[in-house]
Amino acid sequence: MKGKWYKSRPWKWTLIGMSHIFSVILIISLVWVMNCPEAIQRMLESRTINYEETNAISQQMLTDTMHILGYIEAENRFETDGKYDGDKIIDITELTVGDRMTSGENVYGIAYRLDDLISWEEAFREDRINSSSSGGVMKDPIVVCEKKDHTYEYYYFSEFKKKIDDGEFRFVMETEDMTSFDILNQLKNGNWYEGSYSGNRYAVMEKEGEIRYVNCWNYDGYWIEEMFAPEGANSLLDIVNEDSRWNGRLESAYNAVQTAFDTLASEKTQYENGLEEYEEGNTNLTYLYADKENKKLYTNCEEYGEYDDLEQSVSEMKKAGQYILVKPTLKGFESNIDGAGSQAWKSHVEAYGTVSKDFLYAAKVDTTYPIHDSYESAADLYNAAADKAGTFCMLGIISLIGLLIAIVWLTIVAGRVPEDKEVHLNRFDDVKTEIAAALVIGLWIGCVAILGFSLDSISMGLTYDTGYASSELALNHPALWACVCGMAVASCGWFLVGWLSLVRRIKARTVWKNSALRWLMIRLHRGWNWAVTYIPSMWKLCIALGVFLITQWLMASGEWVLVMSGLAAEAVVVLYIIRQECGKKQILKGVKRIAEGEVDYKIPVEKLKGEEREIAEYINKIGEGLDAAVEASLKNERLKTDLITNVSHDIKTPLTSIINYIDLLKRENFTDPKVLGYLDVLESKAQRLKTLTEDVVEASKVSSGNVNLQYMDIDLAEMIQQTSGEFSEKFEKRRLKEVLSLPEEPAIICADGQRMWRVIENIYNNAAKYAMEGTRIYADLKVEEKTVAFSLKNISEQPLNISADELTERFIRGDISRSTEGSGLGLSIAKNITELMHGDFEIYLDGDLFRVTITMPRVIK
Amino acid sequence: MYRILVCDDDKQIVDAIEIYLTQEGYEVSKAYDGMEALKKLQEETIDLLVIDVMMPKLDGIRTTLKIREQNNMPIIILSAKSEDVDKILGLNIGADDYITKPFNPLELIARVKSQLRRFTTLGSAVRTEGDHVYSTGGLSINDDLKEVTVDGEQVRLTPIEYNILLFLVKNQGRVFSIEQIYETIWNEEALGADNTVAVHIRHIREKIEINPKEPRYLKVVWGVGYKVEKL
Repeated sequence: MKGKWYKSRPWKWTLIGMSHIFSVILIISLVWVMNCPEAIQRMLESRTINYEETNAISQQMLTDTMHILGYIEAENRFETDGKYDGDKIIDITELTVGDRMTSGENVYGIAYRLDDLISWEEAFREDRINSSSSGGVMKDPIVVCEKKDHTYEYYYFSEFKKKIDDGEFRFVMETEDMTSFDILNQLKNGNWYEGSYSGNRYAVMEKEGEIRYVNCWNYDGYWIEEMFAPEGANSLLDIVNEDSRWNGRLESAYNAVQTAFDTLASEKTQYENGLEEYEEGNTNLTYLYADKENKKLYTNCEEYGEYDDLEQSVSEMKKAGQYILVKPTLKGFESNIDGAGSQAWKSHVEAYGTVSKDFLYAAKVDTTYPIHDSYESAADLYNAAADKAGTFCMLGIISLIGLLIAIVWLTIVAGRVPEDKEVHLNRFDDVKTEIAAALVIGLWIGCVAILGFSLDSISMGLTYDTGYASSELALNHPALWACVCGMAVASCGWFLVGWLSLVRRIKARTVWKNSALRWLMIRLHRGWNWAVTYIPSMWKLCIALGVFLITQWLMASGEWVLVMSGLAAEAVVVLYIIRQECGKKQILKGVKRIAEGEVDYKIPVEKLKGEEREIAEYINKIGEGLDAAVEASLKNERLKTDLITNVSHDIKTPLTSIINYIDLLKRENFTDPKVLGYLDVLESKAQRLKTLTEDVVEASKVSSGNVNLQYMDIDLAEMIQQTSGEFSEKFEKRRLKEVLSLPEEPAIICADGQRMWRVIENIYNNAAKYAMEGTRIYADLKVEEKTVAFSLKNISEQPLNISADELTERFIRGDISRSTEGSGLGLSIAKNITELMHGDFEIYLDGDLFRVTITMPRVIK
Repeated sequence: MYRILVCDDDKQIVDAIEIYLTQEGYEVSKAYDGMEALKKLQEETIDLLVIDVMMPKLDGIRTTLKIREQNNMPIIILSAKSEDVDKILGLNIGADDYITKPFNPLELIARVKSQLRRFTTLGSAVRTEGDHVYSTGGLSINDDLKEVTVDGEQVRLTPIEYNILLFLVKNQGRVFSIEQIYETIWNEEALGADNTVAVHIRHIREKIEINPKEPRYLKVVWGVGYKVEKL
């Protein structure tokens, strides 16, 4: 046991617990370190890197810059001379293409009043007007007319109809079944499409007979219901019809309007939100944006307000804190922040600024943080996190090593116990391999998915509530930590369950043995074997059953003949079952009789048929075999007994002479004590030989059961008294005192009196010979409910270094040293006789105590 | 003097028996098979025959049967066959006694004496039949004289032994249990476990029987009681 502690159960559980703890620490460290990648750099360079030196501050400045420039652009868009101007003309193309600045004029063809555009956008956003995207139907469908030179003109249907009605246009008809009225009707419903009818058959002509349009159809592209007329036209269609830049591009125009709506909406939000957050005194950030094209300056610092002092202001800003200076060329980019991406800054400022060519942008953060703003809190957070990040990094490495050691250790001791060298499987290991694997993986995915989902939703909720990025929050919020730790514990737990079970299975070599696939294959194999073995022999039965079932189904038809045949089939089946049952009963009876010992019984086979007959014949054959075997064995026993008897006769004749001549010798008057001693030895040995020959015959007869027993009811109490009388002198000679204890009631048993006496005599003789001189011998007779038990107890003179079985089996076992007196067969004979008379003979040895108990079935009168 | 014919195919046994019998004062003739025995019987006057069963030419059983055709002399079978069936067969075909080999010389002599006495003195002799004389076989009790004789020889018994034997002989053929004997002789109720009666019976047997283990008169019916055989 000692030295095997590492396999013990408590230690295994400790290791499992430790690996969970390690995995939790590991994941905490991982998350922490991942949130502060600089921490590793910090550790490697072994110096303190402040927030101001990291890319994070540059990122934060860039985000703020994007807000600021976005506002400046929106302000430019919506204001004239520093005030909101609803009448301002907005060219929608400027809204759709990022780097086109607001000119306040109609430059690219389609332009609206600012207020019109805003109301239209709101109506569109709130689905108050029809459009393709809202799934509405055009109230006044648009008709597209194709000119001979493949340019297009668009009309609203009402306009188009008016021209037809006025006779300005007319359709050129070639058939009677499609009148101009029909065509107009189709156009009105918006169902008249290009290709519906081929060619120019429905060309539209002018009054004078000159063909104006070769074809016409309903417009089916993207559309938005017009709410306001564009600048300088009655409708959007007019612009598309007349302006060469837009001709035939109605769908593009509608798309441009829709894109403009999106830009307008976001700019409007930005404009309405204002820049309060970035006003001087609210932030440590100082920005300066110079539009050199228009000689305009935007800044939140009053000091730098003059456009003419631009250069000086810029150099002023570079003096303290962290700064960034962006110019239209990369060459002009300047910054004292490591890792501030010049390309990213340049492209962002270009895209978000009001001008793309000639600008200057400078931003600066006062790193003394005189104002408690987001920069200061970000720096605080970073410093707090970065301080611990080093520790966490170390912790992570240590726990990773610990985790690996624990897993390796558990792998080695999996399935082992200190007590033995077997591989022990638990209940889970008995689950089929594939099912177990699916179970473990499924539960792991389930746990991780639930925790991951809650992690997501919690962090989303927090982000929404606070406006912070989720990674920053993870370091601060306990619920998120709980989710992360839960994931670690679940992963570690399920991994260990699966892995250790796999290891145990591999050790016990049950991976394949206990797999579902193997189980299935074995089942299929057995099924196949079964089918191959039994189906051929059952085909008759199958066909009969099939016929029977068909007749039964046909009975349902109610046809007279079919019903009769169905009933006939049932009758046949009933008869068949009865006959089979009778046969079975007969066979059962026969088997029972044979089993009860009547091995020569024959089952009558004449009345049996088919399989029953076959079975009966085989059983008869088995019976014959048994009979022959029993006969042979009995004959064998008889032969053996006869042999022993004859041999004993042949021994007795010379023995008679020996005994007689010894006796004669003794009658000669020898005085030499030596001679007399020799004679005594000879005499006693001759006597012993005599007893032996007699006992061997008896033992052989009794053990082979080759004796005739004359059963009668006898009183065992009487017999004990008689025996006791017979032995009184023998006992007295050795100063043995017999203590008799007999019951009041008669102890009647059914036995052969002579043989029973032989039994009792033998055990009394045994006591007389081997009991220690001067001791007591206890003879107890007890009458129980169903038995009569006699027991004789004595204290042995010689140590009993022999087992009870050996005492009664000397005849069979030749290796035990023999007693000097008697044949040593007395107890064996007694036991065999008792058992022949259905009694029980038991010898009990305890130290020097020797006890024989004979139990016989009681006869109750 | 009586002449005894000893017949056995084993010469040494015949010789040994001759020695014993001669010492007792009998004359001995010897034969080594059945034919020879029959011849000797023709030639000489023989008073008793001791004969073995398993012998060449003519075995003991057939010889006995032949002898019994004309002679009622005492015949004692001396055989190595000790089974009950053998003894019964021997006695049934006309033998008077059956002794198994190896035998006790003293027992053989006692049985020879007993047979001769019964045959010569008692067998045909006039029995003094009185009111108070009870007998079975060679056992006779004269209650007037309080005298017990076996084959004419007087036997000394204690008063209790005498009473038990008398009771059994008076009711010969009947089996009595220890309790019945006790209550009759002692005239009081038997109390529990006691081997007194059994011990007395054994003593009687030792006194009246040649071989107490194979009693001729006072028999033990194991598990039932005791009886005196009606002979």
